[in-house]
Amino acid sequence: MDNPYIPVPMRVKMARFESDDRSLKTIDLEPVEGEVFDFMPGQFCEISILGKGEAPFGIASVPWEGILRFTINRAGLVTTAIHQLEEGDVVGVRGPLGNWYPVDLFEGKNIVIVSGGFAFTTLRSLIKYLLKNRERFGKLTLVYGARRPDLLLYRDEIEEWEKSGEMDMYITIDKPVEGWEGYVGFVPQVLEQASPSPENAYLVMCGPPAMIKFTLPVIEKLGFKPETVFTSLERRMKCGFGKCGRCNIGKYYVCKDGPVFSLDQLNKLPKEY
Amino acid sequence: MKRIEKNKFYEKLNGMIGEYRVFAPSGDRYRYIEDVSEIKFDGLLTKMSPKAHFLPQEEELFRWDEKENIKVKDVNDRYIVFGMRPCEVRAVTLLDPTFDTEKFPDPYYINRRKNTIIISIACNEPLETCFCTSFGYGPFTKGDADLMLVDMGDYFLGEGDEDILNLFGFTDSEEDYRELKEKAESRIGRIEIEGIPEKLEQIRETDFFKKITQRCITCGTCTFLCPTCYCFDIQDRNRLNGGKRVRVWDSCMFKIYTHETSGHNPRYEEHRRMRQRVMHKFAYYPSLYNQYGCVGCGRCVTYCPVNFDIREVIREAGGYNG
Repeated sequence: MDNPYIPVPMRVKMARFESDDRSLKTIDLEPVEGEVFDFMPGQFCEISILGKGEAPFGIASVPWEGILRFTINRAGLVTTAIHQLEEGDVVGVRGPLGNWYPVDLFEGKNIVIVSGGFAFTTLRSLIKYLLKNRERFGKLTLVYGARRPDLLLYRDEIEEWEKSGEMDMYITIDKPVEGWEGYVGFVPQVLEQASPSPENAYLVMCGPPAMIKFTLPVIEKLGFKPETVFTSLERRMKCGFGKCGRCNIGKYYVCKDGPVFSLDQLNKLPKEY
Repeated sequence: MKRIEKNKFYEKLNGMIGEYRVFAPSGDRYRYIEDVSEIKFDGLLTKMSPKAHFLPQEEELFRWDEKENIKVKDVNDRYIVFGMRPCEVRAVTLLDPTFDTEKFPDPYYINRRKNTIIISIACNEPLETCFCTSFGYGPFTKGDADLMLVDMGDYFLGEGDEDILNLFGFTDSEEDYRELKEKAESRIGRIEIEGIPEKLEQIRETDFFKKITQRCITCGTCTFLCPTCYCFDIQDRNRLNGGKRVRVWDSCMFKIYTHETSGHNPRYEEHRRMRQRVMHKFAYYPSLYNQYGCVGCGRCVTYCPVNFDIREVIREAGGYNG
């Protein structure tokens, strides 16, 4: 029997700070032996630092990149240890865990992606997946905001995507900054400006609680039905596969039945997230 | 029916210690015993439930050395848990769907579960706090036990697996335990459980949980003593030349249980934690597995330091119209 508690050793192939304030760090991991396991956009892993502990992080890469990418905000014991990692260091990984964005359901539909801050990380995985299988999906729209330009993740790729014309893009920052030519304003306002049609469309949203709170009314106003809106939740987790108990919301475990839920599902649950 | 003299049974059990690790009631809890003389029944139920065998309070998941080589302890022990009550046997059955899963089966739990012979003893004289019959079984239900004994004074009547009956040397008997069973069942108070899961969902957002939580001090005693509570934390213990990762019992009644690094805590307020405990057993678990997550052993009633009574809560919920 496979032991799901045992982390698999992976080597840091690349480590870089993502933001000027060094609060965000991106690491690429590759297995010490063999190849990266298969996974779907939206799934997560537990990263283990022996002696410090484990914490769950959404995967930012796609399987065909041959690496696992994570962008991690420095906040506690484990994330501080991860921030100290350098290329060549070995960490433990357990995964892939959880469900994923329902890309089969998205087939043939227009997809609207709404995000704020570093919650964008797993949406990189989704966007890469959608672009790779571009012909299977309709119009793609991305509304993505951060406080400052340097807090926008994966800026090189955002530029590439903008140039490719494959997506309608609305990249925004909170306040005007010299040299910034994109949108200025909070995500909900920019989403309203973009005004994507709910016809034949699904919407995926990931962001901090404040963004979600003010974006939900806009989504409703635009006419998106709760069953067409998906989000990914975070909770304190330990095991990551429905045993240790702490991440439940009603009868669901965020680790095992999530982290991706439809708004329709969430509306029926206690507000414990 | 089969029977065996008690002294003969205990002699046989004593002889099996060594081949099996025997977990038996010894005062306020079960212990792994070296000799049957250590078996002590401290009333009908021990304070700590025998779940501690299936889910030890602290259990090593793996350890690592100074080179960070990970090693999982090789456990090939076989076990006998002797003296479990029907409610405690049922509680183990209720743990199975969480740990013995198709995806991500839990190797530690499954290893112990599969290698354990459960010998239960029916309850001739249930306690005032017992309410097992509310859940569709009772003080003489064998359930998942391999062998259920009925205490007849100098001897046991036994019911169960043929191999185990033979192993102990049970002999045929004309007697049965029907009368004892009926007498025991008649002594047990019932709670009205019909429709409770739906009712709890209905009153989830009302002041009901705030009201019932007023005197709770969230000490977590109920969850540690509860035979169906299984939540655990995973912690790292550092040593000079390596360390180990362990899982330890945890409790949904603790504030830190759901406290996130950001400071956000979805169950910061006491009544949210109480709601989680009550609804997990009486609404969420039933909606997933079509059975209640409570076995009616009454430990949480007996040992709550502020006299919180889950039976009253269910009764109040049933009639709550606020």
